[in-house]
Amino acid sequence: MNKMRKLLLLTILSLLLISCKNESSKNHDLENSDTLDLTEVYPDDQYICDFINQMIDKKFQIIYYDFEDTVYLHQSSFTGFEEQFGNQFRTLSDIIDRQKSNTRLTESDRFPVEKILSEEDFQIIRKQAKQSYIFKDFCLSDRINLQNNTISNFEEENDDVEFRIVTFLNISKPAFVQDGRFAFIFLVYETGFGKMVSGSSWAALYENQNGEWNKCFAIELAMF
Amino acid sequence: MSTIILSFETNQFHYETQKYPPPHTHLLSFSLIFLALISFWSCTLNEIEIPTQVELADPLSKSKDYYNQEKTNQGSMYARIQAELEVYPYWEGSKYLADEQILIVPAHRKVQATYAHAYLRRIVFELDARDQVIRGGVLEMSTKEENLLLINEDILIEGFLNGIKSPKVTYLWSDFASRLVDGLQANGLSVERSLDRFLQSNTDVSNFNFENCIDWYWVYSNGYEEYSHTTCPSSCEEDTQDACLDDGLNGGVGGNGLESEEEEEIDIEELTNCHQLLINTLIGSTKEEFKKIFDKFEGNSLLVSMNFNVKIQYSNEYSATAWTHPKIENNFAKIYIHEENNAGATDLSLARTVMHEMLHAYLLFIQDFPQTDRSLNGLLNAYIDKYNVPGNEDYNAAHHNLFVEGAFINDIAEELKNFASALGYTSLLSDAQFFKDMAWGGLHTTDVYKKMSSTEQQRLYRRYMAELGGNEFEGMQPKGKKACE
Repeated sequence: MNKMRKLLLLTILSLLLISCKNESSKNHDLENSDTLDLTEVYPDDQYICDFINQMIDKKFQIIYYDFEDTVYLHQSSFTGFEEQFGNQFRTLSDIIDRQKSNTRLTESDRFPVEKILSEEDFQIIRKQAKQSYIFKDFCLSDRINLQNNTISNFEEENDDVEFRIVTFLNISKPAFVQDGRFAFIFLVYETGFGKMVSGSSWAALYENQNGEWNKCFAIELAMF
Repeated sequence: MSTIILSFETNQFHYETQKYPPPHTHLLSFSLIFLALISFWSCTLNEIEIPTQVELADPLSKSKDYYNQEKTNQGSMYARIQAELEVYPYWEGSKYLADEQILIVPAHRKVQATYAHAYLRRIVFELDARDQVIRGGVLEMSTKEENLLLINEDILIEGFLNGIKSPKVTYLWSDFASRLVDGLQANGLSVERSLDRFLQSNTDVSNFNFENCIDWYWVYSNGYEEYSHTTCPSSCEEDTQDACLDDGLNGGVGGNGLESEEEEEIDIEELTNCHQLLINTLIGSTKEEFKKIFDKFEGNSLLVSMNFNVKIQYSNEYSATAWTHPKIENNFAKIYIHEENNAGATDLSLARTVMHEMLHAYLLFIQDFPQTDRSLNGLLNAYIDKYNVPGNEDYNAAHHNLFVEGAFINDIAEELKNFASALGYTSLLSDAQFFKDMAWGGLHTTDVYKKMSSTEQQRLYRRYMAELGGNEFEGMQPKGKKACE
């Protein structure tokens, strides 16, 4: 009998949660317009730091090579993706088409982004991701070294890095949607041996699952 | 004296030589034989000639016979549907693939059709080594990617017959009575043809008549219904070449569809004249592996009919000397050269950069079109599996390690030497170490590089920097000349 009651309670709670979530999504839909006040839906610096700290420890669940003990992060958010890839990712459908173009992924392997994000969510992401932002040192982990240099001129000012590999990241301002449950970033990962640089760039979506950020999907945008 | 006899054993000609006695001893025998032969010939002319004609018939004739025989086995269908699905081979537009083991024939229908996506329909015959038809049917292919079907028609059809299907294409293989034979797709789902009146989602029974145009759908085994095309009655009568026909093509060329206006090129138009000249010299100087690769990108595939295209342009994004877009779009790979970072580069440095990125582009094609080189495709996929965190698809790490471990790095070194020879660097050609060191540019994250001694790593880096900057770098002098100064 107790089990039955627990099950009933769980069901009611689940229904309430779903109802709240739908209400929240509707609010976002209403907010999506050119006059959207993004500051209202922005999480604070600490929330961004928590996301970045976790992601760097997890290598964004994208990068194969281990990061060095110290990871260099460009202090200003990367805003160039809209200019560079904006035409390719105008709508959520563009993301879906790009996912589907991966010949190694079957439809069942593909992350169903359309079930998670609405078109309105995606337009909020686009707006947020191209905004300038200064990553804050006070809440980032000790292994993150904020830099104003690019990896090329960084080497000139740091004599000790010439003959070792360094990891250098350039990240767009994380775009949070659905009350901060999902985070979307553009990421440039560069690894340099002096000025000899290789790496890749990505668009990626993450989900906060009880405080743990986990990758939903990632799309490679450039390889070098 | 001898004579030659035709034998029809086992349906094949062969030649036999027999010895005869001298004529003076067997004059009577000759007369009798002569009479017998005349008699045999007159009685059995048809019996002899018929098999002769069959054996000498070309694959096209055999395919026609096969088609006519199979087409008579019509299924029972609504007359209107049957009429709209009936194909009319345009034999004059036939072409062969794979050493005449595959015959492709344009497949017309007497309808007016409009298609939702790129679409291609062909009658396809597969023949054995003796030109006997193994199987034949109607192959329909559809994709949302413009030009993909017509440009890659041959490889797609050959791949389909060999059980290799592109995930970008929806296939439908039917017999000549329009009955579905194979609707299995690359993603494991199967597809059936349906018309609007029969869709699960259609509840409008009032439309169940065949006076109007028909919307055709492809219905997937997971229930997904995808609109394919609309057919309307045509004014076509007997003439199967008339303009009233649907020629089974959408998203490409006209005519019978077999003379596709294929664009095969290495597009470097957006580069400066100097960079164009250098890259053209590089292409012209290659002799081994990169000659094959460049040839492929120029449409001169050695293995199969496959059109590779690449566009090289400038972009000052990122900090490397160049980057490659990891997605092939409309059969074009895109390479971006960092103009600023190469501003002081020597001609040899620029050539190395171009070859490095061309290898990326080549592997992207190998991945999307495995039939082009199955061995390399298998190796590439193994590297992608190895050099990725679970659930991710990072091609860069996989490519770079494959460059090194798959010996492509030796190809870069060898072709760089050929390029140097073309530019007149005669005294440099014996310096094998120089070309090997150059080939390592951009490969510092690979497992092999990381295992090198610090001394080796520093030598490679200094060489890289000297050629990239075109100036002495920490005691290392550049051996190439600054490009485009």
